[in-house]
Amino acid sequence: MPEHILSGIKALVAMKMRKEGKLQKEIAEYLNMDRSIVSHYLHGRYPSDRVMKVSEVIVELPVEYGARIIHSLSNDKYIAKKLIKVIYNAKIKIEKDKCLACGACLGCEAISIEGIEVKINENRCVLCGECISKCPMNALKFVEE
Amino acid sequence: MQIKEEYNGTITISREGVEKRVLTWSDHICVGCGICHDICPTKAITMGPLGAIAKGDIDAPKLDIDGNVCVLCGMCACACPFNAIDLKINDKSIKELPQYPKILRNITLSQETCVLCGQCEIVCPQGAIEVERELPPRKNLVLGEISINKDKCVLCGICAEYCPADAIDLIPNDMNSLSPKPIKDIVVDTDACVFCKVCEKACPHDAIEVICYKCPLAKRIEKPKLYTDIKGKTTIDKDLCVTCGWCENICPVNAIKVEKPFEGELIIDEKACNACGACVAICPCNALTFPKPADKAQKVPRLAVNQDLCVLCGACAKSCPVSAITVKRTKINMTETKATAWKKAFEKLLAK
Repeated sequence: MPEHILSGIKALVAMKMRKEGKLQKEIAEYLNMDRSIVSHYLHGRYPSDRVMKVSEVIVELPVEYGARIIHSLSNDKYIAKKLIKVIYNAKIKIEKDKCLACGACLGCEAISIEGIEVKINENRCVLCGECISKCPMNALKFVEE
Repeated sequence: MQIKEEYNGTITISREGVEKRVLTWSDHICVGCGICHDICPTKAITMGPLGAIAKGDIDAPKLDIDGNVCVLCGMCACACPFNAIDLKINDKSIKELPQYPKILRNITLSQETCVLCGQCEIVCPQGAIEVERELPPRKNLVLGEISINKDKCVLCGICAEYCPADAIDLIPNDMNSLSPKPIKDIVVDTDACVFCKVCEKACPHDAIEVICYKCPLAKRIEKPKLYTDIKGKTTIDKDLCVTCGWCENICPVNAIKVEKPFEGELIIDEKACNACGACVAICPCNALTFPKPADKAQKVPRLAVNQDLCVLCGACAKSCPVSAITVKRTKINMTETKATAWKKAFEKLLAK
């Protein structure tokens, strides 16, 4: 079942990318999928209606919830990141006024403390949002790019 | 997962993980100033009833840290002017890490200038100073010669009775011996003798001769350089020192320099003060007193502060039950920090 919902989300992402003018080939490469599957999705032959319904609900959730669900559905965190990027166009930002550099968010390979400030390496960040749930000061949050 | 432990006047909160963080608070160093409480961004620190604790009415720790609320950021450790709180990140104290801001507060002592008078040791309100002196033997200071002519001496012991330094002793004879004399000998302890000539004057048989090298009646010798023989060391326990400045003020040779953490003043509302004495009891600097009233009609003694000795820690204000004391800090002597959240927290310590 999780795989089906993930496919549903991929179908929605593929359609969104097509609307933005991306080519089928580009979409397939971006999502690391077979081009024929992308083609199926784009021609309306996507997973069942129920799966699409659930996928649509997930996609419409606020990013901090949606991102966590998408990560829990996917085994590949980099694909999950790509899906989240297209759906929400979001990244994780640190509010410097709130961050105390307490180190509670450490443990993720994208996060490091430099000096007395927490830094996020955006290339390594997979937008899983786990740091947000760990931060005791609510200094981390998703923002639209 | 954070673990809180309390043992014998210390609180320890620790967290394992990518970084190992351990926060410790020691009751014996803490003066109850509450700066940690004021700066804590998560409101994890609560102060005890300081007035009653200061007066000794109740025996309770000066503060408590909520292990569930504390995020181990270390701001309290950086702000504590008295080193009562420390945060170790991977076994390294936050005070040694250059990226963290530090409140600058220091005491320096020049051993070369110090004459080991020990006045700082007496006035230090925290008992943080120790003066160890190794003085040369007294005989090096009092120079002279004393001799008893044993042929003339009748062993009467009058000299021993007069001697102000207890330097003359009569040695009793062994009673079992066949000799009938009760006194066998007379000895002078030249280390104890002050060459005062009292014995010489008292001796009924002129058996004693004393020459004092410093006495105007006797021949003089050049004053030996004794000060160089005085050795010793003054040590300051920097953990206990609160940089109040008593020692700097009292030092007769200006061997001590104190850098205080804050600048500003302490304001006392004389009308509100009911002279309970909690502030005087809690002040780690002995900067607050109730001087003797000049006006006899004055019923409540008036509280007075010596601004030079105050470190503006605010313990008095926190302990005052009627909020008669206000701490007005105008400047914090501290290192720069780029982190905005930290900067703002430290700014809160200043008067608005």
